[in-house]
Amino acid sequence: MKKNIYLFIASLFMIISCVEQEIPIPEIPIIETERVVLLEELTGVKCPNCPTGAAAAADILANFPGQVIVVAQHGDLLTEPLSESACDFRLDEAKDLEQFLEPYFGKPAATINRTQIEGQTEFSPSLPSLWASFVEDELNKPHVLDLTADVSYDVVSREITVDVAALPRTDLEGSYNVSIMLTEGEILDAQEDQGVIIEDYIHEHVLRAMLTPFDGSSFATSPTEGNIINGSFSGVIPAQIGGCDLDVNHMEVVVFVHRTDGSNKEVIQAFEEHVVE
Amino acid sequence: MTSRRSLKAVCFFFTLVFVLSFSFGYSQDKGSFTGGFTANGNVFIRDSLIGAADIPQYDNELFGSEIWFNLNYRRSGYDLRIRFDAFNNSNLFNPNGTYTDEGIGYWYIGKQMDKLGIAVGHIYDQIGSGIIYRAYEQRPQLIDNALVGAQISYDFNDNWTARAFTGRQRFLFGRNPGEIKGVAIEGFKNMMDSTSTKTFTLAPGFGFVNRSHDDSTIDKLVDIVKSYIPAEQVSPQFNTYAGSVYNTLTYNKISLYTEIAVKSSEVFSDPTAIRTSVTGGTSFGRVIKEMGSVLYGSLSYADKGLGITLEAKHTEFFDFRTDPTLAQNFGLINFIPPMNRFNTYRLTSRYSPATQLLSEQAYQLDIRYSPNRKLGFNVNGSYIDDLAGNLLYREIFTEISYKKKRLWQIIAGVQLQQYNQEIYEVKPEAPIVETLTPYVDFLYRFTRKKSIRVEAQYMSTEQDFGSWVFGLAEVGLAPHWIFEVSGMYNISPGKSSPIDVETGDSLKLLYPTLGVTFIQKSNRFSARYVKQVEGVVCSGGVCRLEPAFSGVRMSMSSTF
Repeated sequence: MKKNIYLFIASLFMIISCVEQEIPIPEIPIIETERVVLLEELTGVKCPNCPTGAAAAADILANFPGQVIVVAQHGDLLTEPLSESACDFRLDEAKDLEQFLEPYFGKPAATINRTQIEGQTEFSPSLPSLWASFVEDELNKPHVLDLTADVSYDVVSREITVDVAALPRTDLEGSYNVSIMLTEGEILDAQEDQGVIIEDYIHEHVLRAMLTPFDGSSFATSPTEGNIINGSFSGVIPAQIGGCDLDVNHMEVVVFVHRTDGSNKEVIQAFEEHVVE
Repeated sequence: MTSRRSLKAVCFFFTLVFVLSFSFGYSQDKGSFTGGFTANGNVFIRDSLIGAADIPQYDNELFGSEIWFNLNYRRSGYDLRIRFDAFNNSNLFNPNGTYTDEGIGYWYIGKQMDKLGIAVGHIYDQIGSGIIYRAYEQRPQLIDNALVGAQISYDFNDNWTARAFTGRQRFLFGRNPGEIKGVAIEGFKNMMDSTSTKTFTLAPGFGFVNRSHDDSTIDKLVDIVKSYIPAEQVSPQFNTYAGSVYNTLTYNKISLYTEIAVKSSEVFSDPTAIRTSVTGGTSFGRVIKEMGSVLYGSLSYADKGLGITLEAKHTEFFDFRTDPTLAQNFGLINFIPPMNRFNTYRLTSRYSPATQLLSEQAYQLDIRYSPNRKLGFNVNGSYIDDLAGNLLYREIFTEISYKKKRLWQIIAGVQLQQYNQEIYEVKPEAPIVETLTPYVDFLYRFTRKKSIRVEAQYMSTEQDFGSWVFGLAEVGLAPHWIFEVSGMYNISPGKSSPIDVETGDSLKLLYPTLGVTFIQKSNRFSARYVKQVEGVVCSGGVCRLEPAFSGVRMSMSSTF
């Protein structure tokens, strides 16, 4: 009896002593594609983990230059300004988008091209360290649409016009909307970071306004290969939003085309241009 | 897919019942069916003022429900069990979302053959106090970590048993990735001879668990790590091992439980670790690779009318999951015991600390004294810090109870707390919540069948929602009816209390509850109109922050 127990315990320690082969860590791949991926980050100034999300997004931009566009959306959860805040980044469209991009368990969360990622229970996964691999997966998908936009901005009237042109590379099924967002970067303002308030935190890619409804404007139905689709959108950029001046020199226009069939919200191509060159 | 699997499981279950019925047709053991049915229904009534809004149930769905129906059959050493689960716009899984699915949530086939037991299906079990392994169900938070696999057990003699198991962890109607296997050997040794009037026993145990990642989890970890700078990259590995040694020593009136658990080095998420980005900036949160350990001890003394228990626990890097990228209460393979009193009154249970898996040093002392059958005293103290010495939780709880025969009973006491809301509820800038809560609970029996119970509680605090007063009256008309009316009033609102949009003043809101319960033998029906403030909900030592609720809660439970 005792002998059996000793043998059993000895065999367990033999298992423990087994050494695994070390798993090599590969380098970030260079993906040759014309596809541009949209990463929409659900964030907030009161969200203690959101600087981690912003850092993950910055890494993604550095690792995939010119292939990723980031928009930081301050919707509802943990977005109320801090007592040290000068700006209120909350926006009605961002709040609507936060519901539109549910479910997610907590912030920071991000949706990559608005796709339901296989194996994820969240539509907007809340683990920033996984976003890079999701971006990589999206970049490896076929490029199906060329997208460009001509941006004109009147300094005096602050009117902005965005002329969008899209060229399908193949016949596409379903209905498509186009969304146009205005983002602002290099905003110094307070941010919670793991229990510490950073008063001069640099907020990047903050969604400040939209030229379309939050879920986009109708753009095309079953577009066919080689047939250009055009659209023109305009609006006035206010001098101030949420108690802060908008600095057009640090603003971008983000244009993207996305599905609108039932629960399919997939973004098929994105484009980014400075408001002021 | 779920429904096809469920149909197969139901057919399989009844085929087995049918076969067993005929195989032992002339046996004296005729077999028996037992079971239970539980149903919850929630009507969601939007109240944006208290924060009961902006989730699908309040905005569109308006109704949600959950159903569990389980059926058990036992005959001649065979044990067959099956359970049907249904969720319809349920907010149990994610309090801020909706979940709909249905199917066979549980099945089990077991057979005891003399000293050998075998079981397949969904298996609930734990090793020691659960520190290295616990497969369990907590319906209030929709936690069901059953192991889907097989288990064998063997009784060497009356005192020594061993069991081994392997499988994957259940997750809703699917499985979490990662294969789990383990063994446990437990025994009992009486150190005194049978003629001795003294008691000196040992109940030692040893447990071992291995978790192997699947390829997709490893790929995911590699994807995470490869975006780190080289100095912060760690290499994941497929296998993690956890072992624990535990023992209960009983010497006369003293009992000492000790458990030492160690987990081999593995990759897991640490939200406090500093990550350097490729652009040079830093942020919190990355995966790290460390060994884990938990030391836990409980010393208790019990004599006539007196019970003293002192517990201590030291936890370091013991986040043990089927998939290290899972967070909150998802995918946990183990369960680390909480170190605070399980409070039941509305206000004394408002702030409850969740067990910290990566860094915790905790102590708890509980003293109970009853000089006679009428009078009882209880004093409990909890002291919880992280390993860096930061205050997480303090509690001093006192209770005195007096029973006047069968006519009336009174329970009263005071609770003092310090609660690190920033850590437990991830609320930035939240200061330590300090509370003082006196309470009284009075039960009066008019007759054997008619009784009334009233509760009065007052929580004084300057933090969070500020101070509260709570009152409850519950009339019992045995054996069938219980009527309840209660109210929780934000008598001195705090920073987190709802604001009047016109005046900007904090609102003094009442959160009422009206309820009725009907009991007919083993059937229980209840309906309650509830307005409930946001707060931490704990069940079985597992806690989560839940949003405010507004609506009607109906429930039914039945056993047969």
